[in-house]
Order: sequence, then C-alpha cells, then structure tokens
Amino acid sequence: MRIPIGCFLPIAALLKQLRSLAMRLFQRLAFDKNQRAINSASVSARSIVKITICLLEEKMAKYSTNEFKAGLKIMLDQDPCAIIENEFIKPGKGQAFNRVKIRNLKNGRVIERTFKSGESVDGADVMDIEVQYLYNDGEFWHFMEPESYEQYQADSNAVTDVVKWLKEQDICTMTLWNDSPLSVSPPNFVELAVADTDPGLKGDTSGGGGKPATMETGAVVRVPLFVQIGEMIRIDTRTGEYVSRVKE
Amino acid sequence: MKQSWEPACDINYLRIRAQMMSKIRCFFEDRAVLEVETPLLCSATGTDPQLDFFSSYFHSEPDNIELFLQTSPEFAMKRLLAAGSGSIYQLCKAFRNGELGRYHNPEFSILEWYRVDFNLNQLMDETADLIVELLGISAESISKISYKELFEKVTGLNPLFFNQKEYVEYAENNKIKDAILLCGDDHSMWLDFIFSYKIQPALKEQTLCMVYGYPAIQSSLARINQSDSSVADRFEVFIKGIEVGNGFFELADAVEQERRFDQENSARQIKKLRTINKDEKFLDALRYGLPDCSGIALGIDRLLMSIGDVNSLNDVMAFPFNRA
Repeated sequence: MRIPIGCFLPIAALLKQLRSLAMRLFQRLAFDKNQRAINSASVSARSIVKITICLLEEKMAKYSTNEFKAGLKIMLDQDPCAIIENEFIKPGKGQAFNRVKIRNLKNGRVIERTFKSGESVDGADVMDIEVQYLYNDGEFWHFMEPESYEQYQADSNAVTDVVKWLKEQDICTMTLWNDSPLSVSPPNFVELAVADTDPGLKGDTSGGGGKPATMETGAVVRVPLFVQIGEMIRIDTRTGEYVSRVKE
Repeated sequence: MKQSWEPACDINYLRIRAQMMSKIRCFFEDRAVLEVETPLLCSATGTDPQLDFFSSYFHSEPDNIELFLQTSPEFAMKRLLAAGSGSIYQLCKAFRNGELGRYHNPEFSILEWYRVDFNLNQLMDETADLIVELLGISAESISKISYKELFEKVTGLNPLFFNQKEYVEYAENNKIKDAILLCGDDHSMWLDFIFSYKIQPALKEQTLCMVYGYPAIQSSLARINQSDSSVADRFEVFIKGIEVGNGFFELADAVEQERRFDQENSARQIKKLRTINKDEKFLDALRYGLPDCSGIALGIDRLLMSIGDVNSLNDVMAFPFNRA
C-alpha cells in the first residue's frame, strides 16, 4: 500500500510546532538558568524542558573561561562542580590563565584549577529546588516538590548527615544534577522536639554549661540545663547550636 | 551598595590620580623629555598572539577602513624617534581585548617613555627614580635581580634551559600539577605559569623589584643581549609582586623585527587567530633608522593601586569595565 504524501504534512506541522514550543521553553530556561529553580514549571513542562536541553545540548553545554563567575556550574573530572572564585591571570607579554576555585558538588571538596584563557568546559545541569521531606524507607529518603508533586528519592550520599535536622513535612533545598538528587541542605533554622535529655535543675535559667539533648530526629545538641524532654527548641543548623525554646 | 551610575572608586582617588599625572609631567619636564601624542586609532597593530585588540571601522563607503585601538603607543612613538624627536614620553589610554580581572581592565592608562642613548641599566635607574617619587617610598626598598637568579632562588629550576622532566617534577611537588597538561612542551608557557603562580607571590614582600635579563624566548620587542644570547635586554617592574611595567633596550633591526612579526603571525595561525598585516610604516621607520634607545611602559592604574591598600583596579578607577 502506498501512503499518500499528504499524510506527512500534519506530522511535519506537528514537529514544527513542537520545535517552536521547545525553543520557547529553552529561552525561558536560559532566562531562569541562574535562578534557584524553574518555580512554576509543572511536571510535564519540566520534562519538555529536559528534552529541549537534550536537543540543544551542544549549544548550551559549553562555557568559555570568559563566562566563568561565582556560582556557575560546570563539569570537571566527570563531577558537577560550582565555581567559587575566578581570577584572570596574565603577564603583560604572555599566556593568559584563569585560576579557578571550585567546589565539587558531589563531595563538597574545594579544589583549585587552572585553565588556559579561552578554553571551554562542559556546563553541569545542576539546579536547586525547594522540596518537602516525606519519609525514610530504610534505604532511601523521599522528598516531594510541593508545587508539582514530583517525588525524588535520595540515597545516603545525597542526604549525608543533613537528615538529622529533618523531620517529616519540613521544607528544605535539594540540588538536582541531571534530574537526580545530588545533595540536600536543611533550612538555616529548624524547630525540633527534645526526645531525651537528663532532667536538669528546676529554676536554673543561667544557661551556662548546658547538657546534651537528643532530638526527635536523632541529632544531639547542647542545650541549657532548664530544657526538658518534650519541649520544642530552635536550632541553627549551620553551627548545630541551640538558639531558643519555642513556645507552643 | 553603589548605584551603577556612580564612580567605582573613592572620589579621593581622582585627586591622587591627578596628582600622579602632574608629578609625572614635572619629572619629565625636569629631564627635558618631550611629551607627545600619537593616535589611539591606528591603521595597523601588533602581531603578538598573546594580545587581543579592538578593531573598528571608519565609514567611507564603499571601502570601510579598519582601524585598531592600539594596545600600546609603541609603534607610533618609535616612528617619532626615528624622525629625530629625541627622548619622548606619552600618557594615554591603551586597549586590550578580553583582559578583565582584578588587575586587568580592557581600557587602561599607560605611561610610555623612550630614552635615546640610554642602555637598559640607565632606564632601570630612571624608572626607580620615578617610582620613588610617585609612591614616596625610600630608595633602599628597591631591589634588582636577574630573571635567572630569581627563578632559581624560588624554584631551583633553570629558566633559560628547558628540562621538561625537571619542570614536571617541580610542578608535581609544588601544587601546580595543572601546569603539566596545560604547558606540555611549551617552554615559554611554563615560564609564564611558574612566574605567575610561584615567583610573583614570592615578590609580595618587596615594595619595588626590578627583574632583568628575561629569557630570549620571551624577548618580545627587546634586543637579544650582545654578550649572552640566551637572554633578552628586557626588564619588568614589580610592586609588591604585581607587574606594573615592561622595559626594553629597543630592537632597531628592521629585518629582525619583520622576522618576529612573521613568526608571531605563524603562531597566530596555529592558534587559529586572524593574522595581522605588518605595520609597514613602523617597519619603514626602522629601515630608515631608529636611534639606540631604551623604552618602558608603566600601567598608571596599577601604580595607583599600589599607593593605597586596595586590591582591585575597581578601587582606583572611576568607571571600570562594568560601569563604563
């Protein structure tokens, strides 16, 4: 059976439409690239964006040293990295270099690298999104993006010891690399209930000295003597220090 | 946080800059060196593959003429010297494309001067005198050292003889492993790398250090030393480890100059950069005869940086690149 040539026309039109949609989304993505996340993109829109990225990978994957600046995400030794600092070095009559301080986003280590100015490196498809911590199934930690309901499961390499600050329903920041969780960072302040601590002396409000207390999540924090089991306290996750009691 | 219309530097730096300019003019007036002006937009430019330039077009349809913003006023000033100007100096802007960073701004101020019948040593002394006067430092804080001695002192490597194995070993043991892949068997690039990463930081404690006797492979527009062909008659000025100037006993041989242009143009081809027409007017001037002279260019903005305790050109320029 012969297929009339006319049958291909609608397909061509559809492809054309898809292409223009992809282009629009791509422009939008490029615009959003440096912001924290593509907030309003729904699940399907994000998948299309991903497809678009794949389509246009060659166009967007490379960054020249001239585009280096703090925050740029690039691939180095097969790992996604973020540029912390970029310094242009050039003798008056000589070769120009870019000396770059880079954080490996997989293991957090900071390294220094030098590039010949004008060289290009691959960009890393890394972005931060706000997610809600759902539960731990023993092996994986599950998170959900509240707006899109998209779920992510992170392994212990991604969550590291950050989970000790997270209780279910809490909102935290997740860094995605090629759409899978790379790392999780807790909010700067969390409020947790004290699960266990030595009964302190009543009436001691000086706060001097303190005692260890185990939180509902397992984290151990030094708290003032007056803090009792069952009380909610506020903790600075950056230092791991007690901030105050929380009045219910 | 400053608004983008505002100057980047403290207003006080405008005054310090103006004072510096007038001190420079006094200095040269006292020494009977003539102030000159040469075009910033020229029909030709240098071939140095390490220097990228801005070009522009003079609109005269149908033949638009390409003009280059000069990367230094050197060629035009040498034409004046050949024409019998005697010793001259110039305060002007120079432009280098693609150079942007803490110590680089694509448009910057330059002081360039040429002394007829000065050898390199005399020019080094005069440069020291000028800087002492501009920065108000004591003459004792000045040190002079040869490139070879300095390089050996800091690294133990011989800069004039390239032993790749030794260089690689040094890089491995001194946290500059990146150099191994980047520089490969390119001796000159190795020298640039090690100098930038190891030697300059070692000069940080020194107020003013002049390094002379650059390796011949980095001779640029300097003459090769007559008694030792492995070094060029070139020196550089470092203030607290920051390069502020570059001086030469000027190459006057038109044939040798043309050979270096050709060499640099082939280097450009290898690097896939466009080749540059040789500046024939400049070559003609050399053919006519450049008097024996030494010349140097100093970066005014970096000099200003060294006066205050600042660490970026943005702190001394009113409208650096991101505000221009």
